[in-house]
Amino acid sequence: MERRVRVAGGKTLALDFECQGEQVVRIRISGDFFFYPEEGLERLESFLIEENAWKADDPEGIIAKFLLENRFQAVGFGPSDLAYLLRGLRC
Amino acid sequence: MLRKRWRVLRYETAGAAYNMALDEAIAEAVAFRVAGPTIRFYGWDPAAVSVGRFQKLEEVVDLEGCRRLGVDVVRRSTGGGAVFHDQEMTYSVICPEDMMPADINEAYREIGGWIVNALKLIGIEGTFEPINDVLVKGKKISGSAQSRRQGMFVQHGTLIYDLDRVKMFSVLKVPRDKLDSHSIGDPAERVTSVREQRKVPWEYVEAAMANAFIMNREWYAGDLTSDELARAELIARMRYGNDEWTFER
Repeated sequence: MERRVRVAGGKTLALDFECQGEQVVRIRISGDFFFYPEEGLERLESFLIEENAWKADDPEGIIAKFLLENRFQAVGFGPSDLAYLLRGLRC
Repeated sequence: MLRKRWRVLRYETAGAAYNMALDEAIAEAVAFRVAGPTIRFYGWDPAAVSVGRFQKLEEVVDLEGCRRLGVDVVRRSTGGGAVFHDQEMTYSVICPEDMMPADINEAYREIGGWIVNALKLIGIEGTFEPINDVLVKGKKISGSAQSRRQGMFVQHGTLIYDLDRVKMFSVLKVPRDKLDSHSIGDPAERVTSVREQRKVPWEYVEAAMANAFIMNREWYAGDLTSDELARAELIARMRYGNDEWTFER
């Protein structure tokens, strides 16, 4: 299943997720944005699953904290764009 | 001396996987200090589509169109969007990260400024458009993608020399959300080329790019080392020419 948003500034951010029963087991983030370092995006995907980020009260806050703590930088989308795609995610 | 003096590599063409692998091999050589900071100019033979590191390939590339027209497909190590590389000047700037602005957007602006200067040298007025584009009369003529890894800065990008719009949009797919978000309806009208703006010969563009990129910098005309060439062959085989990498997303 996929959700996508056209971010202010023109980049596309898409979120694909896979379910097993009612559980989200995999998240894939794609689009024409930049992410530094590039390898960090997979860690962000794993983090979202581990944290059940879509159930969080403040998904934007936990994403921003994760990026800051790991010195990851997204260019072309922000935590609020990803939080927008995550909110209310259901299998 | 090696640290700050730029090695400038003359324009050469190669296949898509090798082109991407060579940027990586040079970055390794610079990281290990066996090569100095490097500016490389190159082209693509055959023509190719490169997709950004995080893009879903089949969403943005018409694979059947590519097969029919003999166009290569490669996934870059850098983010950003899909690019059709045909009649263009591609560049890469590879150096220790501390030689470039620490701020990613500032670094895009800096090298975007070099492209604007190159255009100025051939009589074309261009403007840098954040995040990573250069526009002429509101149309894209150049795009870039930057990577920072283990203290190394790599930015590669293009300057479109001439355009075959039919071919370009036979190999690129424009996702619906991109179509909806632009005021210009036809994606083919959102791009332009040097030749559309001024009928200058290729050699002028080559000279303008080289001059703009070395402006106010110490440099020398250099060559690739045999180690870089061998490493690029290996990286091309293992990574950029490998379907597992290309179809990763």
